[in-house]
Amino acid sequence: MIPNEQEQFQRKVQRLLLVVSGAFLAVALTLVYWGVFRSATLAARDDNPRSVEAALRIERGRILDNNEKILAYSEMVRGRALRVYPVVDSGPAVGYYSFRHGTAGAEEAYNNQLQGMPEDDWRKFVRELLNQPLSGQDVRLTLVAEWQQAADALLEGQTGAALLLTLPDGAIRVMASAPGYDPNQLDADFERLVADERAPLLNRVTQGQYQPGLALQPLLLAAALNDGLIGLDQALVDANRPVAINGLQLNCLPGAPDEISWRETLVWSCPSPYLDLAGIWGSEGLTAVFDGFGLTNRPDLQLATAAPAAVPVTDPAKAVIGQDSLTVSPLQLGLAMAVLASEGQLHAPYLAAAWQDGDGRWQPAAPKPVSGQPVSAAAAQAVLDSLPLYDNIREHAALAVAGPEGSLHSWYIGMAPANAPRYLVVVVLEQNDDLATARLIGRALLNR
Amino acid sequence: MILLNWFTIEDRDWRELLLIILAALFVGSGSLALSLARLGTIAWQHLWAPLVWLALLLGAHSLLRYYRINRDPFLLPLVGLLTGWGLIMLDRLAANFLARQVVWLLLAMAVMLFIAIVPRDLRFLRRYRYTWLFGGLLLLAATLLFGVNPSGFGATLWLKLPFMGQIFFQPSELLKLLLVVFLASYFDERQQLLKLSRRRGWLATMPYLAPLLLMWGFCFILLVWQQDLGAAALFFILFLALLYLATGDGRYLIGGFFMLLLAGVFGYYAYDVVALRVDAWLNPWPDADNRAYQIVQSLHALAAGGLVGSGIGQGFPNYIPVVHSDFVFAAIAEEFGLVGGLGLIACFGLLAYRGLRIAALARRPFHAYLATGIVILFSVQSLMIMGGVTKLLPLTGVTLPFVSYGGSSLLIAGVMSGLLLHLSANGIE
Repeated sequence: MIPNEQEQFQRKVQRLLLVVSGAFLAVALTLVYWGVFRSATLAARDDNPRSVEAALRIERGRILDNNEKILAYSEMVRGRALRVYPVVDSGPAVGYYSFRHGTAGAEEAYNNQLQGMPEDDWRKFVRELLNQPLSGQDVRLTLVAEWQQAADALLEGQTGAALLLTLPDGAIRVMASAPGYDPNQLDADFERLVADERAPLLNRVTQGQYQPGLALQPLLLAAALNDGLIGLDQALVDANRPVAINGLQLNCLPGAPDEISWRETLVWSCPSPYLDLAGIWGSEGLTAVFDGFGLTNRPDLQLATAAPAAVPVTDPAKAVIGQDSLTVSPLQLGLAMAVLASEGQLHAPYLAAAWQDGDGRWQPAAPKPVSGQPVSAAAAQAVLDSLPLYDNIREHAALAVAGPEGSLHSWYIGMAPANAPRYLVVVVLEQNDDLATARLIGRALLNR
Repeated sequence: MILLNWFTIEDRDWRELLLIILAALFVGSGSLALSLARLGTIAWQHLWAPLVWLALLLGAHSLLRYYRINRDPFLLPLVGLLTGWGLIMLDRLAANFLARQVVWLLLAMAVMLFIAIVPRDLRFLRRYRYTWLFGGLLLLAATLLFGVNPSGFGATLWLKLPFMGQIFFQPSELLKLLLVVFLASYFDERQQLLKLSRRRGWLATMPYLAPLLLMWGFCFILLVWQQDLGAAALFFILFLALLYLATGDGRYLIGGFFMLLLAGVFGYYAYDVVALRVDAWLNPWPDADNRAYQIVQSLHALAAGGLVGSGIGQGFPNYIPVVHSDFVFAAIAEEFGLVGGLGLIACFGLLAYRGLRIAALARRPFHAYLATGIVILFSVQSLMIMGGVTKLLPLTGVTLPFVSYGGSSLLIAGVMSGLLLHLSANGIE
């Protein structure tokens, strides 16, 4: 090419280069737009499978029992975290974690903790830079794995629940619900579990709603004593008169003498004297008594609990023998009974003993404040001392009529050692009119 | 300090070698990272392809060092980096195609070196231009009649090679090259005429607009018969760029742009395939689960990359259908992040710069047109697919040169790289 032509040509080539460079720049800016400015919006979209993938890769923290025995941990299998429960019958307190079916129990209650949330900005930045999955912190529960397993074995074949608390702090050591499920097989079994009439997924300890029946007796007695309405040794006339409920006749246990004291109503499970208390308290007074023992509120626990009845008392005469609209969970009843062994104070339950902070240090759970004092220490102690004694256990057992079909369920509450109880057990068995079984289970648990 | 001296070194051989070593470090660490991410250990199955690649690259370097002393020292490292990146991405995305792609790479490198070194000059290209063009058109016609699609569905743009088992060739790839050669020699010849005609008023240019209209018509037919929006647009833009280079008249560019737009509008109303792509481009979100799935998943991948990406083998680009061919750029943006994506764009930018530099310094107009045509092909094709993947442009089914999976594309890219190397070395004619 001749020099002049070449110069002209070079100018045209330069212009072409300018156009091409401009186009590359436009693509580069578009890339920056998606990668920086739209990144968060797109990451949050439902049709972005990466949020699912990220969730599947989260290495959740472990759940430990009170003795640091592992109840749940995550194992990485082909880039995905698999949740493993080494103690198969770890029960509803541990619950389950399933990507498809959600979470339950402690897995639900301490989900953020177990997922490593909230995450501070610097940690998040480093993690995202290195493309590491979220990893959570461990949670230590108050549960004791061996006791839990024992409770599950005792409940085998039954429909019901067992709860073991330490006193006076309300720490949950055993939370067993039968029938249960294997959390390791949850995804495979889920359809069957949901369809099962006996509701294995229900945590009967916190979500079960049972008529309290005469299980309420010690509480009512303590409240009446506290209000100065009765004396424990005050003789009762005609204590054995029958009470009709849903077509059933309730009496004292067979063999009860005609003349007994208030204290002895606990031994003989006599319903009729309590109707007199209903007359004195009325709906309002009785509601206040139930309120005081925390029976009308959800317990202060992060686990799923059943909603309490909106109006606990519609008919005081029925309510006073636990056959009205008030229903309670074993946890509620256990906490209320604990008042008798705790100088009249109502404690909140707790399940998490400690958790790890972001740096892996254990932080003990802050003790919960006392939630109330429904009765005086003296009244509580007096009623506790009146409960039947068996082998260093203060115990109380009662039947309740469940619903209009008239099927019965049995309650057992036991506290040991008798003079200054440190353990409290609640057992409830559905469709079971044989108090002996509930007693057997409760005593076996306390004897461990 | 030694390294700094290397950067400032004047000697082109050493500069080329240094750049190849840098590319090898990148590709090598990528394959090691992939092996670790996949298997937790360093395994031969992820290393053999990069080693073959490195051997080819070093072999090419030694030959060029000896036979083409004045070549552009950036070309081979760029081709190397892009193909190497493509290989580790293919290993990551669709490893079952890796062996086949390595064979194609071997062929492409051999052809590149052959063209860069063996011909004394490129006169044969110019002399037989009509032969090339009609050969290409014949192949295209054959595709229209006997075309197949290796995957069993979609546009039938491939020819099954006889006696070679499951080897398919895409004639439109070869046609790109033949068209560049034809146009370069055509404009070389017509340059004077076109220039003269401009001096005699607008009306007199009409006869010379004929090739423009002819070309437009040809691309239009391509669009109509094959519904291949990408190839049609690519050919037409190539033609416009060379026409501008020949005439220096920007009006051809503007007029041509509107003709392209017109064809696009026609395609939109006439063909569902085109309409679908344009709709998915304008607003993919309402149809994100269905027809716009691919582009939406691609955008998710871009967004997921962040600054440095997830690391190779650790992102989720496989949610994008056929990610290893058309959408490899999205996979790179996810796993190498913005840094990787911008780096890849910079590589193509650098390739365009070096190529146009060769054109500007060419001693003969034919060489200049040829180099420009090749640069335009590489650039427009990479822009079209990177723009499509980022939703800057409607999606067109073209491959990302050197990087995407695809034998025909790689082979022709090898031929064109060979031509650029030849031209840069200022071969004696």
